[in-house]
Amino acid sequence: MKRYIKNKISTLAPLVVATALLVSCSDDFLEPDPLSFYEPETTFTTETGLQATLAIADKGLRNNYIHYNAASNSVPIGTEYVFSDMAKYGKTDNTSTISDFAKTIVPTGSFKTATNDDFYLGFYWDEGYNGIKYANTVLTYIDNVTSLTQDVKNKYIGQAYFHRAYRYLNLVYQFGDIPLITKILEVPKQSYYSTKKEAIIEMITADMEKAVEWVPEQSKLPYLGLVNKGACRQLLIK
Amino acid sequence: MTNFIRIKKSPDCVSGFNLKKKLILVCVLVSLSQVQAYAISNKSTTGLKNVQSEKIINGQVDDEDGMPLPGATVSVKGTKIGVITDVDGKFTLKADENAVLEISFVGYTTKEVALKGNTTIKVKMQKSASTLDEVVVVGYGKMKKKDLTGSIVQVKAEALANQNPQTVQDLLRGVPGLKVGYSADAKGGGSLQIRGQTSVYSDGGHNSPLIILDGMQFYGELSEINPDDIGQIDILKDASATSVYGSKAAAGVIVISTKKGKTGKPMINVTTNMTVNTKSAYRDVYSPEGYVKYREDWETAKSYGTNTATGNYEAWITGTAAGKAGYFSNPNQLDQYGISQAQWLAYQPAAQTQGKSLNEVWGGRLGITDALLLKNFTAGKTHDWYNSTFRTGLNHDHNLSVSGAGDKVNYYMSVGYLTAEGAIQGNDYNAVRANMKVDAKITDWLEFGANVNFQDRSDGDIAVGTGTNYWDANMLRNSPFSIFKETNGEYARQPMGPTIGGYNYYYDRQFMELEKGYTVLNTIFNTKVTLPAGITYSFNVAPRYEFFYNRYFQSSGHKGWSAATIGVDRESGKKFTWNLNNTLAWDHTFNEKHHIVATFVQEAEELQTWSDIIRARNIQPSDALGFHNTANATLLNSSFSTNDTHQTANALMARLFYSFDNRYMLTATVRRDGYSAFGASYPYATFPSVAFAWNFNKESWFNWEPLSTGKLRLSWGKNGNRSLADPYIALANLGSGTGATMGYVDPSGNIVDMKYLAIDRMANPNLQWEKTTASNIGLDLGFLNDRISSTIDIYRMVTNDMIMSQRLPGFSGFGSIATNLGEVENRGIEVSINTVNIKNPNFEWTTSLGFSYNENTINALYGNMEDVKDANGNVIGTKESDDKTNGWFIGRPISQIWDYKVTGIWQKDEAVEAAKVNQRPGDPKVENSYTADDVNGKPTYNEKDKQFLGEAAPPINWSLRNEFRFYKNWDLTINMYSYAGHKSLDGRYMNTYNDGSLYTNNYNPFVNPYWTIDNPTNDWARLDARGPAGAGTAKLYDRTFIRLDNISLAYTLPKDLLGRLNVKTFKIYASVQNVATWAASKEWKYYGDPETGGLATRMFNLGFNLSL
Repeated sequence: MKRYIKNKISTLAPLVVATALLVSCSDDFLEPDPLSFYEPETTFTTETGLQATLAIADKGLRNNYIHYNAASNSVPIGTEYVFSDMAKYGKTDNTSTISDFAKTIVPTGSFKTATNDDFYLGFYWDEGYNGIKYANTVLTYIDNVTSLTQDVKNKYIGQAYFHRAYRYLNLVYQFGDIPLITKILEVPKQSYYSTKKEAIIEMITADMEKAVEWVPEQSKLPYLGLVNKGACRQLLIK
Repeated sequence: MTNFIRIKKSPDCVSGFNLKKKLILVCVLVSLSQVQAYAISNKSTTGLKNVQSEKIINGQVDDEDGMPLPGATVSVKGTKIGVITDVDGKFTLKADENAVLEISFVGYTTKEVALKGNTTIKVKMQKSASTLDEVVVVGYGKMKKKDLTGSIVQVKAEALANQNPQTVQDLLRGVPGLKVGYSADAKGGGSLQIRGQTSVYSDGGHNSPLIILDGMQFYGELSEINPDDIGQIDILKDASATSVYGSKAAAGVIVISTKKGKTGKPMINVTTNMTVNTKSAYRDVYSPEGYVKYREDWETAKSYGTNTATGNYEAWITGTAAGKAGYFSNPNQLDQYGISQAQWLAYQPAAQTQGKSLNEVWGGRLGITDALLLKNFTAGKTHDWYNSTFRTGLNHDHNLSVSGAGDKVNYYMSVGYLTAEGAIQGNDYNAVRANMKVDAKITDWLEFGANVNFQDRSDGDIAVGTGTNYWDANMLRNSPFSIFKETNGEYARQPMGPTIGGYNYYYDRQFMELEKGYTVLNTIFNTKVTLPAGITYSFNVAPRYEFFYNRYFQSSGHKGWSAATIGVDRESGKKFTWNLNNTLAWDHTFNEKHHIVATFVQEAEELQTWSDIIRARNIQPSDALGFHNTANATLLNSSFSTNDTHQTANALMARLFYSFDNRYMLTATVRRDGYSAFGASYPYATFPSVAFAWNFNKESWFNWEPLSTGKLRLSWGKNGNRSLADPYIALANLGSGTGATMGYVDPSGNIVDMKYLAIDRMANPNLQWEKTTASNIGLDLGFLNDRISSTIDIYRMVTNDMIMSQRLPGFSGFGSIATNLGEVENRGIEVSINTVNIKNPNFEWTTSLGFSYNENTINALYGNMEDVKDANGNVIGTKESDDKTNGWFIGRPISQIWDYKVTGIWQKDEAVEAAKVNQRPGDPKVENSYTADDVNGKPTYNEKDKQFLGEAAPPINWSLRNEFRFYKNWDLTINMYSYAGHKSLDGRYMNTYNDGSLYTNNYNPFVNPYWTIDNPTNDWARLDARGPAGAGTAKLYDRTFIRLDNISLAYTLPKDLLGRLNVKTFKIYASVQNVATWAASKEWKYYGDPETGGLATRMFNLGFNLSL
């Protein structure tokens, strides 16, 4: 009889032990495990992550002149020209003309980001804030990259300030008082207020003064096309 | 109970482990004491027995047809003595000569036979109509049907065997509350939904029910299970029944149990089927004569206008044919116009008609200008593209199974081979499925079982394209005057001529190859330990491997394809999942009245996928090796990528079932689930449920004789749904955009391409389970010894925390975030009635009727409030705003249709009215319901004119099944089902057949009526109609339909004939699937089948089943 019970325990206990061990401590077991995509927490522990983010910000600077798609009839800078003394909308075989500003610049008007015959108002807004997002990404995650010296860190921060200041400068002169975003959101936010144009300009001026100090000359940068001290100076002048 | 769970919840897992140790200790102590007691009682009984006179009793137990019944339990009433009848139904036991024997068997009424001094008895058992003793699988255990407290429907696969169901979905049609979709593909199948759409999030099969196969969660698709291997299916509908499961239990659970070996002689079962597959509904295209008439009508319609002299709206007023009646008609049929051929010819200047035959002139006027098409038109040379697109397919389905059981081992092995050809040319599917199950009783307290399931199936094929967008490759629309083969006998690449092109599947098919499919190995291992005091412990683990392969090749030998854009696609994927559970169950009855079953389950799962894709393009110098060669691809045009995912989940569950005197039953369950996709901050959620049932006909004060079953069920519970299309949506990610680069220039002047990354998705660490709270009231009634049985269920389900994309302001850097919001409610009623109408020896007739009605309402969405204004514009309150982009409105069903209302067609005497909105007779009338924004009496169409027109998901579903049995050997089954109350919008009545210049390019459109001056219909618009500016023109159609789904006839050879051949059963059967359809909308027949909206197939099946 006793052996009977002993047999039972000896077969039962290892089974239970095995399964209890198989399923380890619950908390670690349920950690999400991203494998095939870049997650900010892991990507921004190296310098290349920062460089990659600045690369797209750099690319965005060109899009004013060439657009990221195939733009056949006009590029975004054309919209700026039409709104200034430099150019006038010339298409005559359209029934309605978009330079009838009273009809086109309305809250329910078309807000295109990619067009070949219309105004690129949507492009300025979206691409402007995209550039600000890329700059804010660098500024938010730069502390994760622990392997950098303070100088190199400042260089990246300076370059990010340049991109952010460039976008905000254009946006305030195009749209006036706009929402000020200075970091990547961690929780969704629905309530935003516009910040006064003057306050934004003050902020970006202060940022650019630091950038001029920190961003090295072109001779010290590895590639042409990265933001350099000269560019920062030029922007500060503006 | 809750104390138990709280301890297990603590993150310090050491305490949990300690608890297990304690439990084992308790078990051991209890078992020790029990064993002692048992030993004592055994001794005493045997002692007593020796005193009285015992005789050896021999007997035979037969079923109601006179055939021996093996496996029946024969026991001596009042004692523990019992035996089981052997293969021939014989038994031998020792009993007192005055004892009473009790013979019982599942599905038969228990019989008592008094021995009265006889030593040899013969017993005939009667099949019991009552199903109360039937065993139902409820999740981590089995329960008798009479003890059920939840809403569960059982389907026995044997009953449907004569229909030859090709897929599991075919077995499930007709269950009230379960909506089964229809697939006209060779593979078959269909979507499943229980009790209405629970969530607005529907990606990745989120709202389809959880599948449990032989007790373990099933991660594959239903095609992997051979319907011939299924013993029974239990559909769990309400919260209490499904709450023992996690994952996506809120969407309902389908529990599939496969067949086991039966005690007795080993059985070999062979089933063979041949099915002929034909198209039963699809839009037609014009025959050559119809095509010509259609072009004539199109051109004539362009000449409609108002005759200034008479004021009538008639033909030949405007355009090139003004004043030229019969301009577009056949020159040999000009009698109706009263003109001669010379006059007809003279309609055009002589310069244009010189040197051309009459038919050539006519073709030119009809717009047939391409040289090749015109030549065939005049010669009358045609090709039937419809015939080339559809075919009669032949399916073969062969299954073999061997099964048997002894006292210690139970085995079931089967293999099945299916090859199917769909109604569309090129639509092929084949699958091999094998199953091996062994259950062994190693000792009287240890059982071990293994269930191995293997499938190798093809996935996808190269079938003729049937897309209807103007840019899709579609062979049906080729002009009847186009060519199929060139003069040299090769398939024509451009059937419509070199200018227009066209599409010929047969030419393209020569240059394409595809091998694509899945190989699946699904295994389940069970271990069950029976401990004393009614405790059982079982450990179940189910590892599963799924391998996916895709080899697709397009050859550059095709003259229309450029080598740089085609080549080889190779994809290989592996999916490995395992889930295991430890179950502890205690089943005890106190004082014969109190029955308790307590179950504790601990569960864990892991899912991992790995996939690689190679897209090799521009294979030089030659791609003659097909998809076997990717090394010669040009790197610049090719790409490759990989995608791996990893998810985990675990759970703890406790359930208590208590029943008092078989009259009052109570089930309480609590389950805590965790899932890694919600893992960032708190991945767990707790789901409790409680259910109560009352067998009121067993009460002493209830004396109504006809009511044989009466049970009232009440349940309430919470369930979760964790199914996501992408398990990582709660994490932020960095995207590479289009994969392009930013070019920098290094100091030596070389270009450096740097790939960039941008933050793409916002993290939501608080993403949680979607939760559904459901309550259900059910009534099970049975009359006249369960000859009429019915079940009524009324339910209300509220789903909140749905996984939705909340829009964020774009300037924050993110467009949306995945979060839990909103609330959806489903309320409804399900009724099912089963009756045995006639039961005579030579004629039996049973009917099953199922009916369900579901009402779906959105109660809340994003929480954005907007002002409510009264007639004067004053704000009187706030309400939540609707999501107009997705068509979700507060207080309306998810599938609500909100659009402009089309009320008819402008007729010829309404030309002036129509002109007010820039329309002509033949154009559709759109109702201008909001007139406050009209300008000067001219209707303005905008969003304010849209109305709520109905819903697209059917609220009503009923099914009816009649089974007849003649002369014991003939079985006839007639099955029908219907969906009612739903509508859909369709704009094809507008006949805009020149989209993408299809008309100008001489393509053949689909056939449907159209408005002409001679045919002033109010349901179809003129050819090439236009709507008013600003309004949509889709018309509402009623999609209610009834389908006579299946008629099958089977003949079972009489047993005495077979007895001589040593064959157990032999059955021949024939069935027709999708016999006929009746649609509420008369117009829908021009669009196709009312259920699918397009293609439907009819299958004629002949098969036989042999059992040895």
